[in-house]
Amino acid sequence: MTVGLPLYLALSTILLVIGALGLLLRRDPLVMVMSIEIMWNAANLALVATARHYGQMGGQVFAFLVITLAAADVAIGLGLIVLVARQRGRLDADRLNWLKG
Amino acid sequence: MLTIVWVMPAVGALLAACGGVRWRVAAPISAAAALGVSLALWTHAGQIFTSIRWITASGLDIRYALGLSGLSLLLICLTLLLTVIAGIAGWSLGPSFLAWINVLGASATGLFLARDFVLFYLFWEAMLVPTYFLLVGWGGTGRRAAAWKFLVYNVGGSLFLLAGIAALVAFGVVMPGQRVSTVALGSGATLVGLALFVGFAVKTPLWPVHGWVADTYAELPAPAAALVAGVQSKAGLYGMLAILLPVLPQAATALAPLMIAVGVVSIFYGAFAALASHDPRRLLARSSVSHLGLIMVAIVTLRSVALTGAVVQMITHGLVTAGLFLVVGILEQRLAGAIRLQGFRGLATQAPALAGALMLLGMASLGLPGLGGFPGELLMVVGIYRRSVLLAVLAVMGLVLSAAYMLRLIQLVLHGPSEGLGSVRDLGRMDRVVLVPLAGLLLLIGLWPKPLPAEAAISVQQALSTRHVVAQVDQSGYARPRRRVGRGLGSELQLDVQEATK
Amino acid sequence: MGVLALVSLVLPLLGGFVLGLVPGSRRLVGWIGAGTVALAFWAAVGMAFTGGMAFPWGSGGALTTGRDWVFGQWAAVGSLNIPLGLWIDGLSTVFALVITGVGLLIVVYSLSYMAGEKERDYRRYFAGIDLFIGAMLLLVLADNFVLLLIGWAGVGFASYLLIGFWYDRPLAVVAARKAFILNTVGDVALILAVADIALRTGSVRFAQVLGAGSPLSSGAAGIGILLFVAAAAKSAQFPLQSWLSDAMEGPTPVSALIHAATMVTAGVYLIARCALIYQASPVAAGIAGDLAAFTALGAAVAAVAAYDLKRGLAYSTMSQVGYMIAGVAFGALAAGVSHVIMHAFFKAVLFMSAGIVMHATGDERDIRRYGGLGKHLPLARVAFLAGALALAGIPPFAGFWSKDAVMGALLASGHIVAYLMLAAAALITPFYAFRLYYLTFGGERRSNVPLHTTVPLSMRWPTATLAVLAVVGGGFAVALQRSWGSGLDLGSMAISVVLALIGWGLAYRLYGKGDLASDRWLPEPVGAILRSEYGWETLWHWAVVEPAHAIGKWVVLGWDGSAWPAAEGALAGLLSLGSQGVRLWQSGLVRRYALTMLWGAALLLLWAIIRR
Repeated sequence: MTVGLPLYLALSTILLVIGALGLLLRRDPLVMVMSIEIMWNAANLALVATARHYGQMGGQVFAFLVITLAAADVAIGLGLIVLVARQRGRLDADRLNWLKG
Repeated sequence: MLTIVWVMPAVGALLAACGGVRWRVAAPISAAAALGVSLALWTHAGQIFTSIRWITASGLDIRYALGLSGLSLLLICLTLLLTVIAGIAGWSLGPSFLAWINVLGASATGLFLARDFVLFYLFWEAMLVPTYFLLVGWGGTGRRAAAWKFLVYNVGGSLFLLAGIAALVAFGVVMPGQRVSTVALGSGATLVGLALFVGFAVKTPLWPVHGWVADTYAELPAPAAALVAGVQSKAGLYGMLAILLPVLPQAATALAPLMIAVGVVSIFYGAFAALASHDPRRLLARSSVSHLGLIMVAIVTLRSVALTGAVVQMITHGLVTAGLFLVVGILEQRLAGAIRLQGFRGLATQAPALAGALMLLGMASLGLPGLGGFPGELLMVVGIYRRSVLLAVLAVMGLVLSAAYMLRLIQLVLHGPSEGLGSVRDLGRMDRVVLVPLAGLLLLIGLWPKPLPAEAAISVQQALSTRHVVAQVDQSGYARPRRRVGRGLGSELQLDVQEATK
Repeated sequence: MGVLALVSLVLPLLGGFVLGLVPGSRRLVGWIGAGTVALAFWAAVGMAFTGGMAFPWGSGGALTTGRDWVFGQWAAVGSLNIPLGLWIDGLSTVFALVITGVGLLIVVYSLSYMAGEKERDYRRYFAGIDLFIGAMLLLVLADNFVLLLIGWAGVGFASYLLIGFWYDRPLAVVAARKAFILNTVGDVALILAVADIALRTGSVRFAQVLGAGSPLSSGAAGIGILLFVAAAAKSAQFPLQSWLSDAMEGPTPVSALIHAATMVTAGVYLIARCALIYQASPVAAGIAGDLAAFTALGAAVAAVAAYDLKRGLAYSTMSQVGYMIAGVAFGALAAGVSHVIMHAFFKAVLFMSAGIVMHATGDERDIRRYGGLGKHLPLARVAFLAGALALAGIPPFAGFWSKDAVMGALLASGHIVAYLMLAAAALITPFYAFRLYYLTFGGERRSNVPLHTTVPLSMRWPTATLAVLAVVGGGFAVALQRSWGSGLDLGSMAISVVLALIGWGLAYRLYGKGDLASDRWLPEPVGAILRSEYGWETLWHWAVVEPAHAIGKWVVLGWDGSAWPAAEGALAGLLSLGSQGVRLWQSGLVRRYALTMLWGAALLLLWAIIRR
């Protein structure tokens, strides 16, 4: 049995929504970064699935780009979070607004 | 080859900036060398062209393209000469001052060489930086506010220019000499032309966007003021001549009434304001607005005689204004501080050579026949007269007013019994080194201006060439495109003209 | 011949530059100053003998028979070619001779007259004089309008320098500025005329513009009027006359050379040179001629009440130049130009005598403090008398031959209005001339300032030479008129002689005793009005000068100083308000940003779906 494109896309959508909700509802920056990762991967899934479905390699290539970007993103994000945690002790995204213009 | 001309002063700036006091001599010397190179190219104008692909993506073809038209060459010689002179005059202000002076000279030179819109815009913006730092670093007491005003006005103007240039680049227009196809731009051409005009007018400056000029010239150290006033205003007019007219002939025609109105108001606004000024620097700034307004009017008349006159006047105005600012600077140095007219008088008894310099430069500024200011004015009036008698009358009224305010400046400073001066030292050796070339050139141009119009002739044809073929023919029959065999730009232009004739 | 012309013109210019730049002893300065002018005179004489005078030169049409000597190109734009060239014909030769000849005498006179100045000022003086003579020669020798314009403005500039020679005197500074600005009005009128000529003919060269078959038949009126405005400014004709009387603030030899003998006749030269244009347009000729005749009369009347000797002579100059311009504008070229020569002789001698008088009295110019000077200064007295007789037009003195020729020509050609004005002026001229003479030299001294009666040699000889020329110089005028083909008119001569004698008689009757009290015949208010030049000065001040400065103040204070910064401030405020608004969005809450982004993404998605 083959799993069709609609199913992949549906899973991708569900992942995206989970990530988005996580981003909006949680206040822990660590969890927020994880939610962002879920959203990245939702996009990746959609890219790879459609690429496979249409037999074009562009989407898969793009997925690789996304993976590297996501890695970079996590590296910077985690670094920031660690620094903030050291300085403030407590992690709450709603209180991290001391750079506001 | 052309790259050398603008890179050389830049390298000099770098040496002066990094090498400190011992290396500061590199700044004027490099500019002088570049001046030598450009003078050596005098007979090759219109034949040299450099073009390297730079950014090629999604249909964009942005190039590092340099070219040398007669107009460019004249303006480059002016720029580099004034750079050298400003360097010598500002010798005592330290190596970083000289470095910034050279950066300004190099970016203006690059601007006049650029043959690609994006490159042109880069140099255009690059000119702002040195002026800003010269203002902030060496300005007078009001330098902060003046620098801020300068920056806001000029960046604002640049945005209009950027919008216009972006539109041109987006439609694949190549600078210069290539027509915009009416299909591509349609009625939007006028809008693009307007954006360009605003950008150029701020830089020149013309009424009503002249707000920055008086403060900037009042606060800049005199040698820098000489360079900025002498060169920067020419960038705007150069844009009108080398971009607006040839690239957007329809827009230029459509906008002509507006541009003429702006020019005429500038003439009178500047002249009357100069008549009531008490600060010689503000007087000179306003007189510049007035003179540049006249050049603007001459350019918009689209008569080759007037355009030639405008080019000649751009050169002599640069020399005269620079000289006058240097004289004012020397005076300020002698009197230890900013000067006000009517605060002192009778300089002629104390310092006859300084008085003579001011007299000569002032007379050249008001266009006394026999001195540098005259040939340009004469040709402009003759050309403007071809377009409209009324405009010519207005223009010469501006000349009468300029006689009035210049004489007021000269007489208030020089004449009367010596008062409020103490004992003023006359021109020193360095002062003479700085002023004599300017005065000599002005005298020479007054008595024998022939080389300037000759050098400018091709550029003027170029500015009008599309118009000659497409829009209307200059009734005088002047400036028929002359065949000139050459590589690069020159032949490109000829191709363009032939193309349009078909 | 062309080389000689070039030499005569370049030498004084070169001398002017050298004197202006290089310091030197008094003696050296004198040698350079006088030497260059002497050589220029020699060259001009050479030019005349090698052909300048020999050209047949009639009224207008024959002007092209001059020789055009081109030695370079000033500039060329398209088909508009502006050469560096000299034009040598009878007219330019006559002017060159007058300029260098009278100029030489006056320069020699100045050697002693200016001896009291500091060395630096002495040098500056001769630099100015040399510059003037060079520029004036360029004016009359140029072969095209642009070079003429350069000379035209050059003489204006030299005149400005010399009027304001004593620049520590406020009156001199103001006078110099006024002269320069009014002259600039003339310059720009000339520039406009050049523009019009270039537009119509495509050339600015005399050979093409003023030659036979010139294309200037249409549009001559406008050009003629513009040229007259230029001439009026340079030659102090109504309505641009008011600078000349103030110009008397300059040293007296300057008044003699520039503001009597030569520069003020530049307008005459211009109109004579462009006689073709005035032939083609009776309207322009009428305006120029009638206004000049009006000036002649008005200035003569103003001279009647003058207390300032030099101002009196200045009014006389305006009046006499009026005769010349009326003559040349109405086509009487020979008469008008010969009057230029005669006037150069007698007016220069009048000024030189005035200079001797001022030298003796310690720079006193007010005739109310003269009187009885004839006994002490016999040379000045005789020279002034010769000049006055020539000015009055009493035969056989110089002025008679030319002034009468002008009036006779106007009568013959039917320009009655101009003739009547000139005739009235001819009646008044002897009156004011002899009033000045009697009040200065006759009667008793009215001041007890000690006199310095020694007159240096270099002042005596030029004065004497010119006095002789004022007596017998009429021969030149007659010769010139004969060679240029205009005869003498006995009828008009008789009228002129009668008028001159009546004027003189009246003056003798009233002032013969040299008594200042005789001035009482003129009611004081009228005298005051005349001395203020009919109040023209005040009118000019309130109608032009004050408004210009008021507008300037208004622009600076009202616009550049307040409205503009206010507009800038308003713009800045607006921008600042906008940025305040945008700041609200920047809450700093990451989750709010995320929500905004999601909304944005959702909207984009929606848009994409709808677009499909």
